[in-house]
Amino acid sequence: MNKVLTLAEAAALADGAARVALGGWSFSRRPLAAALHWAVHGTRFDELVVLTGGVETDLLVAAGVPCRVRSFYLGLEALGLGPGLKGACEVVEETETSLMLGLNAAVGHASFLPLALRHAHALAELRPELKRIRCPYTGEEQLAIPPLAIDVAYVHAWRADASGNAVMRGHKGADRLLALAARQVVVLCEELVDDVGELGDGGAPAELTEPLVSHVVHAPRGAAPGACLPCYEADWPALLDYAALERNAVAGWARARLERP
Amino acid sequence: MLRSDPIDAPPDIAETMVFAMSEWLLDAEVVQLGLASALNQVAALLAQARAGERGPALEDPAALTLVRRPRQAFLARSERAALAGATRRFEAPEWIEQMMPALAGRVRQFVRPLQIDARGRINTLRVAGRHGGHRRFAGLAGLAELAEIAQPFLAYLPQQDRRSFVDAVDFVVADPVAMHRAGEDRAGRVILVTDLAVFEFASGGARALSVHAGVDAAALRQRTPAAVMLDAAPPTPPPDPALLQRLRSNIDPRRVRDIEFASGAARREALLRLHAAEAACTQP
Repeated sequence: MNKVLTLAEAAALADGAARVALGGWSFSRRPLAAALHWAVHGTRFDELVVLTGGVETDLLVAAGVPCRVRSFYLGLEALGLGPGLKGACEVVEETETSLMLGLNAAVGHASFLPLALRHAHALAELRPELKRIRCPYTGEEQLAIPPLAIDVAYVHAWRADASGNAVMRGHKGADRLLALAARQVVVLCEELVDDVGELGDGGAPAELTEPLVSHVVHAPRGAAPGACLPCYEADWPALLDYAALERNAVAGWARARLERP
Repeated sequence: MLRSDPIDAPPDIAETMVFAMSEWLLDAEVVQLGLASALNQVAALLAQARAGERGPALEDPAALTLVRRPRQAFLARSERAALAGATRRFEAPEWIEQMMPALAGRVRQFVRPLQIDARGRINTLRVAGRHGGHRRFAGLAGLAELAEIAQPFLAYLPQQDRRSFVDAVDFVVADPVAMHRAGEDRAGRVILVTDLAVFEFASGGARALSVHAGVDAAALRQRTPAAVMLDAAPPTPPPDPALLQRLRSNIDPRRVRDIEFASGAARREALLRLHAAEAACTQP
């Protein structure tokens, strides 16, 4: 089955969505091509979910694409904060564990999963809407983490085939979990190949397989100025230039990168 | 930044700090490097070199790998470096949900907080703004879980001042001392390494364990919360000369360790120079 779409067709799936997730981690395999498209074309959706939010999140916040961001870490790491995250931004705070539990609850169709309160005092203070419960077996006080269903998840892979089998190099992030929790999954890839290979012949096993993937987009250098190993590494000079932008210059920066040949 | 000091120059503050930090990583089974934590990375690589085969394996979040093979420090090319010689690439849920709880008591990580207070409480999220409200920074991450499994809990500040080392943090992200009650097998304890000294926080209070060479006593007192005892702290032991030379020539030849001491335009220039130096390197 051929699942290949254009970037514009795939990006349009996020418009008006309740919750959109972006895969990758740190500067690795972030779906920048989709983020740039949204920033340039005025796409809007309610919530952006990222585990760690980097340049893709920063530029989306600067461009006003999501109403809020859900994450346990936001920033450009050694490069500081970009123009988006330096300004006002509504954040749904998570811990590493609470975000995993929410995604796992969505995958398993559970109404909640428990998080020990001793790991969540800060979270409970920041998120008073989270219900407290007592474990029926131990009496331990817990927070009930609700499911975090994703409307559309976008991930960037090294290679994919038209059926949606995708191989990643470098950081795996939580892309498989995001895909499992999502109603639709878009894979953007550096290389669109006939066949990603088979196990046992030295070929790379697919991290995402076709039943999980809704659409495939061929997007060479679609994670730049971040990295997508083995094709390219993070472009620090470009990232530092981005970090130094004023917030109102981000849309122009995004347009220039998107239209770059 | 990225200086080329004579190989026999006395240790600078970055070197003093990574040696003091590595002391607390020597007996860990696994050291988590943390995202973009330059000093933690160099200290962990130094601890590996000091401990040899008994030393810790590294969990490197740049590619979420477990690595034991010795390597040089990298920052701009950290993902590729994390993959070199790795025994496994983990998915984030696997590491966070399954591996971290299994490593209780065996894992360490130096965390750079936004604020740490006289009770050893950690803030990585937000500080009060000058005109009300607050300024948000990194996030909650996995600090509360780390405070439970990593004891002593390790923190560092490249620049100790009254904005970062405070009487009481603006927001408590983790309270590693309170998390472990006195009398338990692993009573709560926090170690803080700064550019001035090494501190210890426990249920009985906080004190300086050692003061770095050349630090003025009045300046140290002025930059340290009054509740922290400074009396009779001995000097921080100097780095072993042979190890210091190994740090400069083999472990961190491009001076990743300097990055966290720069700010503003100087930091940008230092990052660009480091990126260029790493790009020119044939490893990893």
